Amino acid sequence: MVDLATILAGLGDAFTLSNILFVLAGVVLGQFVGAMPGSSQEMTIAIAIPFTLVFTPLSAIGFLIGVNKGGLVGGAIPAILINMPGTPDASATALDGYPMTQKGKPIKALKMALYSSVTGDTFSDLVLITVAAPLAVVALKMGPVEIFALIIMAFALISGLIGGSVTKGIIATVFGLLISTVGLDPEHSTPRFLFGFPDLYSGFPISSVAIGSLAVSVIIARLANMSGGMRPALHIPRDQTADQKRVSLAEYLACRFVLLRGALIGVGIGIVPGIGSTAAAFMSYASTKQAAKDPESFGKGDIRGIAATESANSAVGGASLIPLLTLGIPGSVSAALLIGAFLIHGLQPGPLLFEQQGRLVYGLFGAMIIANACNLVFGLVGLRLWSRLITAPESIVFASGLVLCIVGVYLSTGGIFGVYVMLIFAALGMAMNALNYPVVIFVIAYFLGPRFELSLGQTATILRGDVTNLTNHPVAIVLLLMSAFSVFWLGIRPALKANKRKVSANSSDPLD
Amino acid sequence: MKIINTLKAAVCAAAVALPGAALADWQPDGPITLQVGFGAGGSTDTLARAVAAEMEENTGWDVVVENKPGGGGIAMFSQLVNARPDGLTMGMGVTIPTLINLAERGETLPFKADSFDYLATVAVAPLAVVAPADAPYDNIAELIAYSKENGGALVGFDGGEMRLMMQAINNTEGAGFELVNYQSGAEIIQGLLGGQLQAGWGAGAHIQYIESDDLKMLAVATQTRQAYAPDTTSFIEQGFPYSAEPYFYIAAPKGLDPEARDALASALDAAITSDALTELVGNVMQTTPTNLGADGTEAKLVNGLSEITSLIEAAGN
Amino acid sequence: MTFERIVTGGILAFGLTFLFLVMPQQVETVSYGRVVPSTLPGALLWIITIAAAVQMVTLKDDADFNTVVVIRAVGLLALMVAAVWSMDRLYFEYVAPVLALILMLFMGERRWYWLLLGGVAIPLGIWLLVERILDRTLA
Repeated sequence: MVDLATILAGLGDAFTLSNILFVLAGVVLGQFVGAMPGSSQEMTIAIAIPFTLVFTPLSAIGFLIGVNKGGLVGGAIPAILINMPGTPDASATALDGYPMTQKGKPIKALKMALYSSVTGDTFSDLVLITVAAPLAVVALKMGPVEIFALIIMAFALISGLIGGSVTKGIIATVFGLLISTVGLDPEHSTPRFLFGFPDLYSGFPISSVAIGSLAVSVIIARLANMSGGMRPALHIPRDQTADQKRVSLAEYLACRFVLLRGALIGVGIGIVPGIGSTAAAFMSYASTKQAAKDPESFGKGDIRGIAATESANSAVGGASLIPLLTLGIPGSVSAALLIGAFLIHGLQPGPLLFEQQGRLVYGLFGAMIIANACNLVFGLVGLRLWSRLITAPESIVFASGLVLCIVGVYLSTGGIFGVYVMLIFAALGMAMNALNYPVVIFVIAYFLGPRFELSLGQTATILRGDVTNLTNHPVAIVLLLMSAFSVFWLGIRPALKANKRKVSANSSDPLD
Repeated sequence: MKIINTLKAAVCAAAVALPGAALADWQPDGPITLQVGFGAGGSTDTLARAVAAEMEENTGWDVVVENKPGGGGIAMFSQLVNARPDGLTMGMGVTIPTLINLAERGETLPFKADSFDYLATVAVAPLAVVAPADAPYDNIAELIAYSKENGGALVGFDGGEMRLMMQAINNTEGAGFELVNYQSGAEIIQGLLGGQLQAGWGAGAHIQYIESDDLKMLAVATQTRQAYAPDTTSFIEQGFPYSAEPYFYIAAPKGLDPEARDALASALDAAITSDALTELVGNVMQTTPTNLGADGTEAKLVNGLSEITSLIEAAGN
Repeated sequence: MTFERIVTGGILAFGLTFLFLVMPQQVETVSYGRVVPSTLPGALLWIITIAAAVQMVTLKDDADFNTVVVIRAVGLLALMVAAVWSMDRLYFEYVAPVLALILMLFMGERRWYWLLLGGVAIPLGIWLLVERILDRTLA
């Protein structure tokens, strides 16, 4: 549909010095902001869009793509170094990243995160560039019924992370879903559980819930546990052997199946709008953990845990451009912001895009490849910088972290209300941690909730209220059967075993 | 943060270099926030961002766009009504969803139609019902017949007025349409192309697919025909006495200083009628910007209530 | 009665209260549609209630707390709420440095140069970045 000359011209446009500089600037800014607790690449893109109006379309889009991709890498940095995810995507990375830091291998963990992220991202971009058209057809067939089954499948896989107690896992999941029903219901637009607060019409702000329960709760718990003596927030042993600081090629290759599975899960989630990279990261983590011969080593600093999550959450990005470019359906908040920017710069997603704007689209693809390279190169510099920065005293790091969370949530929710909500969820997160209710599962359920309810309503209508009509949706049936299997295999069986052994699986509890 | 400085410098330079910046008496004493009652990336959001950018360029004011999605703009207007009327906060929504909410649960909402100072409309959404190009029906009557034969056609919608019009037809014709709720016009198109829906509503996103021959028009919901499909008749012409013309509009909390109101209204008008907006509205919705002005906008909101109320009665809920 | 049982009882009570008292007031009824506004919240509340009831019976372990840590955590949260409350009324640039300083002193930081950096320079730097360079207002 696009001739080779257009493709080459488009790629040529991308590989000019000024464009490379714009993409690099975006990546640097994205990594920086992603690494700041409380801020997100969504917020950065929203703030950056007006500034990009004066650029040429390709520079502007390249810059924004750079911000988006840089943010994915940056978010992992504080997750690994101080157990405080910079973005919700990275909360899965903290599960094994932070234990690696505690074992004195923060640099190695950061490098693995970077390599995995760039691997997943590049894989996904190549999929986008080479097989976007056939995948777009697959994406078309993923209707509401199939999406509903896929969300069930996400829950089923994530049940593998439920921890020691099945009932606590269920309560956390269901509570997350329940919190997501606050606000207007997706089917009839009637207000629910507002208790007289008009701010709640749009529900609890996502950033308030995520940052409150994942980041603020962790900092406050850590401060409360502090007992005199000012240590650096991060301690890197000086006499490390090279082996403890680097990721060898053999170690990287040992993770190749983990990386590939993560990338495939990421691509699969990416082409289906509305599920999101955080869920992809957790799905990849849960399935890697269960496929491993030694699942008990996860959560204690297993490098495969990092490979699984970072490859998956980064692989969502490229694939999510498939529904975005071909149909104009954004798969995530940042993708939605990108659409707005595309339109402003004259890139109209839809069936005619490749015909009418082929050169610009291939320029965009070129910019994505450049952004991945920049991510790798600047990431290696940046991770040293950050790990040096976080060797500052705990007092500075955590006090500034809390101020940043307040500012970040204030800016992204547009008011003080969101900051109060953040504090409420910080309290909830601490209580859940202390009582061994899995907070990350709560947050994931909250993220998936609105899409879950919407597709539940759509599915009920499409099946005309009759479950036997599911026979017209074989893909959905397969997904549901796989879900039932994984709930038993990943969730119930290990939990029963764990109960028998009276071993508490969730021991990373800061309030203990 | 050098990059931000550089960008900032570039933007400032661009702003200074622009000729003929409007010199109104009233000047905002801070950044102006344009709140959008819909999520990022939708047509309302895109229009708002373009209007804001155009205003910044013309006036040198700082105009920030914030998304406050939920309930077809109700979440945003419920908060906007309590904002200070200092000219620094405006909201952009769509007339029909606001009117439906006022009609269906006006007593529970924190605002009424006259709780705002209205400033401008930006455009009318070209509402239409579309179907896959190979579907065996070409208008609403044939769709109804198809639906009756096949146990209810699945029709995708993403707005209350679309639902009401289909429910009204279900009531009078016994069409048995099964209405599937979507979050955006783009997702409805996905449902149509993917074969999950037999028909669906479009509010602009469908037009490209008409041009690419993937979809076809069944009827337009506006009172008059639409420029990109001059042969497609309206619901009214096809014998179903219903219509809906959703305007994108901008309002501020009631009690603006008249000078501020005039300054904002004229700055908005300059932005809405600018070439850039004309091009963008043409790209996004295949139509031209329409600014009814402050009074015209107010009339749409205040008088539109009775039309919606009768549509709700026809729909039977 | 262990502490965990009391919490589980609280969850049970929450589920029942919301099901029978709060839902009827806070969720509207509609006349059409297969999934109505109360479908999902109702189902979820039933699951929470049942899960909590099961947990009442099956609970074995109890959480162990360090009372001092809990009190400190509650105090820190209260401090944050107070700081946010004052930011809403005063200016961010006055409140944020005070908050950062109190937090640092609480952590036992006494070295003046670190206090100056974390308690003054960083909060004001954030403020400058946001308000002066990005032109966004903070409370």
